Amino acid sequence: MTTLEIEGLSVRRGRSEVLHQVDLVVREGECVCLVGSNGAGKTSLIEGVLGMLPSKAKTLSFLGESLLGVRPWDRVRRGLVVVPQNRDLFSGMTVEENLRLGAVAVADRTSTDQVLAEIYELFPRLAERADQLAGTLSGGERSMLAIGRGLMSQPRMLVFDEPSLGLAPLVVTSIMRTIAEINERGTTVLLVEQNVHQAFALASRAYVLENGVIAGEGPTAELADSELMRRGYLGSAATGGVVKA
Amino acid sequence: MSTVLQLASTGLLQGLIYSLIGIGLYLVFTVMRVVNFAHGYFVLIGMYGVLTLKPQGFPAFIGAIVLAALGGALVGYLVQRFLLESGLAKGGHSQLVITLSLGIAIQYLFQVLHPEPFETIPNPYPFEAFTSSGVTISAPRMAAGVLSLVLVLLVSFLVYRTRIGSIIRGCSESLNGAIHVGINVRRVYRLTFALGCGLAAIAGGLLLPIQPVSPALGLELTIKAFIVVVIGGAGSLWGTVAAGVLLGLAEALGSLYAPGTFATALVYGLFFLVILVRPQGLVVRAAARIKPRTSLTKVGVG
Repeated sequence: MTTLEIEGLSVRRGRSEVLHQVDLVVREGECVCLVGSNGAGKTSLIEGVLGMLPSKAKTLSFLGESLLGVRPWDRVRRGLVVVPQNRDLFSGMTVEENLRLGAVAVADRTSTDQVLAEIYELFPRLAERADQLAGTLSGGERSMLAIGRGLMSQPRMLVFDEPSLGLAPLVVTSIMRTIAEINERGTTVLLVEQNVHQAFALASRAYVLENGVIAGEGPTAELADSELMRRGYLGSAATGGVVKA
Repeated sequence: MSTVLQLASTGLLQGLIYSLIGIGLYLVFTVMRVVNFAHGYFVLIGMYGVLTLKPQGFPAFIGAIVLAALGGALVGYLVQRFLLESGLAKGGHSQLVITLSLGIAIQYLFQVLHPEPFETIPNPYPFEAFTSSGVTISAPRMAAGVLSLVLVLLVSFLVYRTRIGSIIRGCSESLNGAIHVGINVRRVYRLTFALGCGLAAIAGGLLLPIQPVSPALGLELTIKAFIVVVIGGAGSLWGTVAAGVLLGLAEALGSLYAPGTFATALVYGLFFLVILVRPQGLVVRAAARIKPRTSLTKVGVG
């Protein structure tokens, strides 16, 4: 079954169109990655899919239902949850308050405590800092909290926007392992990353975004050897940290 | 000594009303980043609302305040729904123009409806005055102060201890974050604006038996509400409450050291000083410095 289906999506940011006629499909249970360099339009794609930026699309459907004309928060309520790039945490609220707000849209409130316990199990560090203000957390902890908050709503699909951004390599590895675990437990994942090696290690399929258009797609194993990836990412244009892996 | 005590008690009670007016503005400002220049005029709506209903006796007075509050909240809701929302989407300084013109429109509306200045109602409370150690407080003043305090506590309970409150605070912390957890931010904005305006109207109702109402009072109260919010700082509701009390005390005690109108000037001069020394306000949230902020316009949901 198709979880997310995008056909002919164009997204505007201000006056300029930054994403042109993008097609993308994520099937249930999959872990798909979307890679592209800085400014390729990755975040715009996410914000377009969530309805936070003005967009046009031939098809934009989630779990078989169209998202066109649906308000961003209602898209979230349908189970399409984004862990945003800059985390967008509630800085002046505690870790636990942040997590509980993550479940605010869940109709069945009885399960909240159980999900909270599971998230503390997944990220023991968050449990230690439950009463600490989110604004005082380290980068890695903020990333964990953003993921935990996303999980609190028991999403059908999680979209990670650059989860590795600004984190130390060791932390990145641990976050990536967590994303793999979330996917193994049954949540469909779209991983949006600049860090191609980390993303390819996790995902089964990949899309490559260049200047607002899909420049290539396919199983990660095949794509990794392709001319496109060599040209764009493993050669001179490779971004910091990518080459060494 | 008893004069000082008398003035201090009066100032404290008056200050609590300022606190109540202030937290309405504070909520709207921290949640929506909208500076509501019409806020004081919503106090007027409460005052004229109760005046128009001409309540006889205490229960009728409370009933009139409730009705006036609902009226103020409804007007606030409609203003947000039909004026500010589209204004926010357009960006720029439209909210300034909208709230400012709204205030002036309300003022002139009341000038037409109530050309007579300084209207008031007789003491609606079933008691006259309290006297203790040389200090006499009239019943309306005492009741207005106490009821304002109760309402301030109720609002702080709502904001800091309830689910709705955490949703409101979430929207104020991060608009995008609120959207990412599925909060209907548009509805929260409407309700917050309605709540802020409703609180202002309640304060107006409580104020009416103490302070005769004139349409021009709206501007003065707006300015006082601003002072309270700015002096209080964006950190927490408590800063606003403290600043309200401070303003009340300063006004009352100022009259002790300077004659009439000059005292008022002195008080506002004093607040310049406070802003110079502590521009961030009395209470600042620990995490406030690292808080990024986007507008409704940016996320395209305005």
